[in-house]
Amino acid sequence: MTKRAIIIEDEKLARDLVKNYLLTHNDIELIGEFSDGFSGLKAINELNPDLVFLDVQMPKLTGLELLELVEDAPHIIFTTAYDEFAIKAFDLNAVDYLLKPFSQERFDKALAKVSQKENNNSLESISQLKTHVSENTSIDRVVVKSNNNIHVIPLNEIVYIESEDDYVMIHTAAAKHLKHQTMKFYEEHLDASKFIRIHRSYIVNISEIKKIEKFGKDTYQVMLKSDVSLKVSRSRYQELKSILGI
Amino acid sequence: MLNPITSNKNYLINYAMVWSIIIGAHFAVMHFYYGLSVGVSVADSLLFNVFFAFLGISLWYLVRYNKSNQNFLILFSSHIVSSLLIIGFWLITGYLILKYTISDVHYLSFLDGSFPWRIISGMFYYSLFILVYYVVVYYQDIQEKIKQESNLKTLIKEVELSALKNQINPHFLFNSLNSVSSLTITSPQKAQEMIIKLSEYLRYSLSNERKQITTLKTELENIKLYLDIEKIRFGERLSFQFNCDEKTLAANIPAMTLQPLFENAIKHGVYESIDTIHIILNAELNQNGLQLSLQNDFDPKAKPTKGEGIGLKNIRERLFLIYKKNDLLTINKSEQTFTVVINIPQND
Repeated sequence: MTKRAIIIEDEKLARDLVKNYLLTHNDIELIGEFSDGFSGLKAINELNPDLVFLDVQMPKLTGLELLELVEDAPHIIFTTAYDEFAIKAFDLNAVDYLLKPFSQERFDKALAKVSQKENNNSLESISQLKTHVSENTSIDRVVVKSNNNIHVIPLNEIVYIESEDDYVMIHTAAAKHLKHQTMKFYEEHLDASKFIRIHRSYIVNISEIKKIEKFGKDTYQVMLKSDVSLKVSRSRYQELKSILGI
Repeated sequence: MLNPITSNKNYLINYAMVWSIIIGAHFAVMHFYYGLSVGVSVADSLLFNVFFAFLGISLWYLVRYNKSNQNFLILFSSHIVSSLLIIGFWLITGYLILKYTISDVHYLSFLDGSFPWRIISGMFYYSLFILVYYVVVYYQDIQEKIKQESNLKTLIKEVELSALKNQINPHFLFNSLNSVSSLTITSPQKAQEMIIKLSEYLRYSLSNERKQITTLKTELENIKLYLDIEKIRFGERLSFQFNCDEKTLAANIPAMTLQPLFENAIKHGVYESIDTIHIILNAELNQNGLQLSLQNDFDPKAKPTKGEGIGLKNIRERLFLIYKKNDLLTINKSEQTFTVVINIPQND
């Protein structure tokens, strides 16, 4: 059975190399080449390929961020030049990766691995990879998908994050975005000098806080610059006070 | 600097002991040699010596704050004047107190006749204090200088080390090798060109660390190699332009100063954008020396950069070590362009 493959890679010569290596593989049909994360993601969703050669370092959206947004991940072979965190994450997983520059031999091996795994469910390893990557890299922006748009949100634009069952709602000044992620993840990965968890349900951008006011006996709420009020849990009140220097 | 006597408990104890011996000797001479009574001998010895012991401590401040006065003649005459004032104050005060509290006639005539040797001993004490204090001040100065020098040496080592680490960006190297690998299949001729450029570039980066100062011309030749390599990788996504005339090309510049700036421009500009990124270098000579301004545009939606990166910090430190000025590098970031301006002082 012929497999349909796409290449997502920002450098033309690197794409040419993969194309050349593919010439000897008659069972793989190249159905598209894409040079940045956005168009790559769109292609995965629209073309539904069986196999993706995915570069890590790319404009707009990195290969790893792209992976976060793919729901039904095809087989992925990562190609990367030098990315310590990613390499560590790949090593822990069944997903294969190619270190640039790589040989035809090594390339063939990666493809053989894909065929072997044909019957296995690779979704599990993908989700494992996502976890490992997110554990090992610090986040400096958040990518979300709403309808068919992808939003890249710089951290300083996040006003607060609210828990919504299995999801979180990310509030910016202009909009709010739902994302499949845990509060715990953001509590651990956001810069603690910029964001603070004030309640089971809220993580707040410290620079957005306007004032703290008394809400009831012994309870407080935070008033944001956007005039939104959020409850502060009793246990987090002291921490909030110390971080604001009161 | 603290007073060397009062700042240390042990020194203070030793100081008190020395004065106790002097007081004892003073008493012995008066009592046994001049045959004065025990009472007046004790009073005289204690009063004059304890008084001078306190004056001696305060002399430190005189030395400490006169330090910057380098002219020997002025220094010497100022000490003559201050010694006369202090000894005069010491003697007259002591004399008046004893004269009106003690009625022993024998002692009073001794007191009146004792001025010459009291002045001599006062002069002796004064000189001794001043001498010791100067030694302390210069010793502390030398210690301070040694400490500063070793701090500077550590800083130099650190800067050299991180420059060494930064001179070849692994991302650049491996991606370039990957491009070469691709070209060997599609266009061996171009692959060979790229390998030669890459080798020349690596040779310059690896060797020039030792030879500190080079010309802008040499530095730009290396940058050109680097940009040519990146141009092969990124094609239309990278465009660059040098605006430098003949005069500026001959100007001096520390080797590998521009390299990290171009690397930054590519990393934050070209890596993160799918549109063409323009990198423009302007060079001019003005009264401050060579002014280089490097400007690149970037995708405003790309990953925000966190503060001043290692590359810029490194250049700032190197320029400081070489020119002893820390305002030689300025950064200007606007909505879509990033500009770094460097001033390189020229000796001639």
